[in-house]
Amino acid sequence: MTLLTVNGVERSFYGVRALAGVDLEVPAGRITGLIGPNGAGKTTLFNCITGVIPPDKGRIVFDGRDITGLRPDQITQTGLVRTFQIARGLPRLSVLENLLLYGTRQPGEKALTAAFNPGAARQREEELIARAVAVARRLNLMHVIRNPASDLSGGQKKLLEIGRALMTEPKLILLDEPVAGVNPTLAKEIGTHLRTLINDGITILLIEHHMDMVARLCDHVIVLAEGRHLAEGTFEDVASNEVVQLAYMGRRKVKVT
Amino acid sequence: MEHYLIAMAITAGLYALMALGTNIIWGMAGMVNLGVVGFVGVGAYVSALLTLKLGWPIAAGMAAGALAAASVGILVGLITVNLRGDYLAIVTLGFAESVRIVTSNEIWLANGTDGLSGIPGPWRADLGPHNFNLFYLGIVVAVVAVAFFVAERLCYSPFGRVLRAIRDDEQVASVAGKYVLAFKLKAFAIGTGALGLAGALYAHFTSYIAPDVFVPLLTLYIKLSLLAGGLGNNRGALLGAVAVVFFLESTRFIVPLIPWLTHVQGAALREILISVTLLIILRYHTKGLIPERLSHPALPAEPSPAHAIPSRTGAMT
Repeated sequence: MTLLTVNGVERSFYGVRALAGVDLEVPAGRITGLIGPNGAGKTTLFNCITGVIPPDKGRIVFDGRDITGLRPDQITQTGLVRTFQIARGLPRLSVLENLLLYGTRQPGEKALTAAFNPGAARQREEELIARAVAVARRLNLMHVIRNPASDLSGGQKKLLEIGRALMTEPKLILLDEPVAGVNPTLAKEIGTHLRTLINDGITILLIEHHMDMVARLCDHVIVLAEGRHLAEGTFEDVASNEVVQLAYMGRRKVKVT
Repeated sequence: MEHYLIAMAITAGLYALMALGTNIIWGMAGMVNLGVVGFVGVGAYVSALLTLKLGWPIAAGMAAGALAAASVGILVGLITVNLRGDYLAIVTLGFAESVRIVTSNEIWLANGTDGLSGIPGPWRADLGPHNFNLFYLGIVVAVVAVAFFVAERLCYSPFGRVLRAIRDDEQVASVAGKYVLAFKLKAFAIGTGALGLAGALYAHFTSYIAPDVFVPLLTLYIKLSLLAGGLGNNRGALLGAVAVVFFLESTRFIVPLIPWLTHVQGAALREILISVTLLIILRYHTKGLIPERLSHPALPAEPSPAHAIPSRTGAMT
């Protein structure tokens, strides 16, 4: 079953075509890897899918619903959430608050309820706290849950990114380089966490440059180059594909005829 | 002297109310609003005009003043929706100046630079000047207490959490599933509503308002209150406002003790004293006298130290 379909998505920045018509499908219940050389448009594609940057053209369908042009908050509420490449923990909020922020359906986010009827928010807040604690425990963040997010180490910030995404009760998580700058042991551990998410019925699309990680983790790999879908298949297929190797290593000068 | 002290206490209360309102916009949601005095002016003029010209009851006038300021706040918020930081500051500063200039020039409406006088105060004639001031101090203290209570609840509620998230990183808040624009406008409306109420309270206390009351200096005093007291903390806002009024007024008594100063030099010295004090506070308390604190919602009881956790991630990173 296809969970996410991207159809002819284009996006330019002042004449630079970051995405030149991307088509791809993300199957449900698997880890799909999105790879490609720097500047291929991977992060821009994530931005377009999640509404952070609206696409110029094209259509994005998630779980049977056209989400093209929706705001990021609306897209998150449909069950599609993303993490950021450079971990963006909210520094002046505690780890727990960072997690709770991503919680859904909190009536206390209405100003009037918050000011005059906090009782209505309390029950939901308790549910969210229980969920946050479960997420923190799962990701080994329990011992820092009261610290400000700015005090976390690089690896913990990456874990917090994943934890926050889990708080939204997502169907699909887009992970932008979940192990970049993380030591190999923790990278392995993050990989294990991601595997368990699949068992919980969550689908993952991830951008990654660590090829051993991609090889180990991804069921399916899509290659993006110069703003286009270049190839896809299992990691072995893709790695042995000459076109992909050219895209990564640079191409021989080809005369345009 | 007692009369003076009560009047100063009322001023401190109004500063505190303005600081609380500004704290919601600036301290919690992170939007720099240099138009504080404009919203105060809107509240003051609307309430004064409605009670003077249309004979509205004072309480209704004040409520209308606060609502008008909040509505204008939403409007300014919508206009500046894509502006951040310095740019937002400049536009709001311009807004405050336009309020002052419009009230100066639209003589038919607001009597121009002569201002509006004879603004009614609650039972002013019956109470006599002294008792009226005491009574009014009671009103102001009650309003500030309610405002503080509401602001505290908002700050550490899920609503306040979203505002603080927007302040730290708007895009993250958006990806977290929060409609950032709606939250910003709400913060603006609540904050400017409090500013408008402070303006209305001021108008009915002094019974006289004129455009030159609402100069940008007042905005700066409110910013100063927040910086000194602790931005993002409601207690800090109260403390800072009281401290600023205390300093503004007490320097009035210190300056004449220095014999060789002229009046102009004395006024300048007061400003210098205030600036130096702020610098000293911020040198030793970079986050203000009472820094913002993290919210720590109560966690459920810990189960016994988890042996189940296979490895300790935190120690390795």
